[in-house]
Amino acid sequence: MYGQTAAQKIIARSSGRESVGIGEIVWAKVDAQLMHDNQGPYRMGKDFESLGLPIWDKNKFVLSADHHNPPTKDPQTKVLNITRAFAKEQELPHFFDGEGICHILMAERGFVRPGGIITGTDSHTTNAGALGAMGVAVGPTESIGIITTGEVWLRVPETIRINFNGKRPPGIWGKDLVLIALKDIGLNGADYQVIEWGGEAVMSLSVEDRMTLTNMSTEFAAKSTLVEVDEKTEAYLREAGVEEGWEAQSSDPDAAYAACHEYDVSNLSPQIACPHRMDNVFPVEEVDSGPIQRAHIGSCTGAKIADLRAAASVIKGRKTDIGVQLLIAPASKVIMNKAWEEGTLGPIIEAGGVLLPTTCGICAGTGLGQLGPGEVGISSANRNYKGRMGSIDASIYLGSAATVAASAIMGKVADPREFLS
Amino acid sequence: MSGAAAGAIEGNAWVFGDNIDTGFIMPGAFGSLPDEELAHHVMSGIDPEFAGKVQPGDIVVGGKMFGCGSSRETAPRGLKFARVGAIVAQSFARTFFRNAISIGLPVLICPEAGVIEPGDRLRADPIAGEIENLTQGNLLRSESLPDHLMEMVRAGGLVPYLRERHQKQ
Repeated sequence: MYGQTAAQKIIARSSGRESVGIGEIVWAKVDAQLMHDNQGPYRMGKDFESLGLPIWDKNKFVLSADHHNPPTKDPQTKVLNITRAFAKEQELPHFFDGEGICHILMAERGFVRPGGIITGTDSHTTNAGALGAMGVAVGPTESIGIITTGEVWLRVPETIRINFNGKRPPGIWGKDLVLIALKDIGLNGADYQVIEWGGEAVMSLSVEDRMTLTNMSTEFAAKSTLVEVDEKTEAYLREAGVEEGWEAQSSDPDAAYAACHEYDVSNLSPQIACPHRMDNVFPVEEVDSGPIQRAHIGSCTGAKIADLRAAASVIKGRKTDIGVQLLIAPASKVIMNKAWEEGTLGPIIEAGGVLLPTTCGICAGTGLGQLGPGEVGISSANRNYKGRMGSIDASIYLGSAATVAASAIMGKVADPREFLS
Repeated sequence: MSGAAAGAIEGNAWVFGDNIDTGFIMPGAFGSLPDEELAHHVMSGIDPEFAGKVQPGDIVVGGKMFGCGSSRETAPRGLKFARVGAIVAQSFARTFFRNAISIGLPVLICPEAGVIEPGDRLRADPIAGEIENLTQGNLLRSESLPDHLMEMVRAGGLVPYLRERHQKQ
């Protein structure tokens, strides 16, 4: 009999059980549920109304208008109006209309607590793992079940462990770590599993940059993901207004992992996901992108305060290349205000950055600044499938916000280390 | 078990391979259609004749990672409204698996599904975790769905299931 993984303990607690076995299907109580304007508005009408049941706990339900906000064309106006009407009719206390991108709001507004289960109608709900909570993506129909019962069924997953050892060199961020793991393990390489991220280099990251790992865990097809809770997590939680009422879980020393991966980051270069797959990854020295037309610092993955600071450290006092437009969409209003007040945002805008709304924007294939046919862009976001950020005939590179800033200066995919003082 | 017989589905096998993407099952262009119309386009990304020929109760058989790619719920909805009886696959992408159950479409995980040939007559019992191949005369095991999830499938999906449960209370 092996020990239990952290994921098993979290599911056991939430389903009122002593322990749960891998592969079992159980009903669990969720600690918070997220819906947004992309997957949900149509079900809010038809399915929710036909049930005639109340929302189980409005304090645990977050509704965010971020994917189509502000709208640029007709179907977007429609879904936004359905979303707003639902929020008004239900008198939702936690409806966020253009306040930020849902996964970042969930964390910074205190809805994510260690040891909890967070469900959401979005694949990047895994983001919650950076705070030691299990974030699990669900479908729009079952979301109606969750908001009326507060319960979700879960199949108890296996866990894999990914450790990044060694000291993280300057210019290397969470994005570089997650990309090197994607290159090795591959898209779908952790199908149905939970990824535990650990090791010295991971724990050296800020909580926000740990989110880069947990956010993109979904690109491995993982069900969920976790990082252990430490004093940095506790400080983040205090700032989010979460003082107590949570219990962190960690895996037993003899827990059975389905796989373990070890990486040494001591000599790691900045990593780039090249078109058109997130696991088509190369060190920046080996990438020859040719001229780029767009550099994008945005999305729930790549526009947190840690990302903006990294970008500012590269671009401060410099100018973007004349052929490139640098777009910057902070992941929330709180982040935007903080970045402005502390002097992080100013230098990026002075360098040529164009400030965009604090919503999903081009990462959701919506909003301003989408790529046209034949255009090449680099982004701090999470996906580079064909057509993800506009034209199906555009090419997208992915890198850290620091790498995006360096690329904006150089007019091609470039190494941020050359600009660090 | 009382519900076992009621849960069995009999129909002919339509066999597809590994990594059947939701974009093959329901191309994005049809994503905003009403449920009933989705059925006319189901599987059109991989077999344009499927929608016209599939019979009520027929069973779709997949390889590994059936329903991978986009988490769009229109993919299982299209199969359900085409009156497919069940899906048997070596493995499923997790959001497809969840969405199928939420809308009341039985899904059976069967590691040995690769032996099933197109057109084989199958009798699938999701509760017992068995797939009887009436053509080949063999019996395959599938991971059984727990009763509480089968109740949901039997009710026609999560929303009717919750409505029934609420009315009983």
